[in-house]
Amino acid sequence: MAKQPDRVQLYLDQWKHNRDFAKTIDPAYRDWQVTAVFYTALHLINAVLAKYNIVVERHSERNDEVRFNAVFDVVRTKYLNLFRICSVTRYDAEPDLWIPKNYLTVNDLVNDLLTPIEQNLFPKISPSLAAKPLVLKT
Amino acid sequence: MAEEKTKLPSVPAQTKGITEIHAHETHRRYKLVDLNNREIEQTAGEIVEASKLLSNRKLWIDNFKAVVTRVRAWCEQYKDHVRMALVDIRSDKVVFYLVPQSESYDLTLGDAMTALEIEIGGGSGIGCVESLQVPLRSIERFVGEKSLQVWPTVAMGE
Repeated sequence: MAKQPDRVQLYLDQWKHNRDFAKTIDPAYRDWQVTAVFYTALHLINAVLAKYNIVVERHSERNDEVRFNAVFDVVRTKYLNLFRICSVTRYDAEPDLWIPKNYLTVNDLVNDLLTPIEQNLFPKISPSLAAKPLVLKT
Repeated sequence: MAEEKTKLPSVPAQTKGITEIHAHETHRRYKLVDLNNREIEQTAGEIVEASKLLSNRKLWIDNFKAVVTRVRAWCEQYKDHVRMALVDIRSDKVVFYLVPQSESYDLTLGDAMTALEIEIGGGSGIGCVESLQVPLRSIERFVGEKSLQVWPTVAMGE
């Protein structure tokens, strides 16, 4: 029987892929910066779910896991805010206007929403998992 | 011990004058006549399933109204942050759209929305409930034509 792929690692690869892509995006494409940040967080959530053998296919299913699963207690508000910001930003003609006004740059969004998600979820996935701070182009 | 065979009644059973329709009586057909004298023929099993669907629908509507009442109260509580609330009933979920007072995403409101989703989402009896913030300037992009405004208006259709 063929060896099953390590789903946790597959999601971690996607997390890193999106994270690396986010760094390269020109600030003129703020919608894509925010979208890449959101999908970076999403793949980390998926990695945690995969660790518990939970399979989700849609945002609504994933969001329900984040809302009601205790493993996401600390990060749920951050993740759901990121999901809602991204839901509008990627379809909004003026994405800059939708960034919360207390964020001076998009890196404040990264520091306030993505970084705490990563810091909280890394140990839940692997004790050795770490990442340098994500800095987007401004 | 020999298993006792279920005995099917040969005619519709009655309890205190009410005719009983048993779902297991797949062979038995009933003729129903609607208000326009249109005849509908269904098996006992189909009638029982249709009745259950009708009961579930009524329960869903009652639960939905209770959720809307809660969301209206919540909007009152956060009226400094909320300009308008609408609801969209989709095939797989119910989405509440919150239009913030601000032009940008309101983080305080977002935190409160998460708490509201957790409060009503688990035991609402209407399936998945989500809330999204949408800007007034581009509300048409996100809110469908069939969406209902639940706040600040007070009237809600039956």
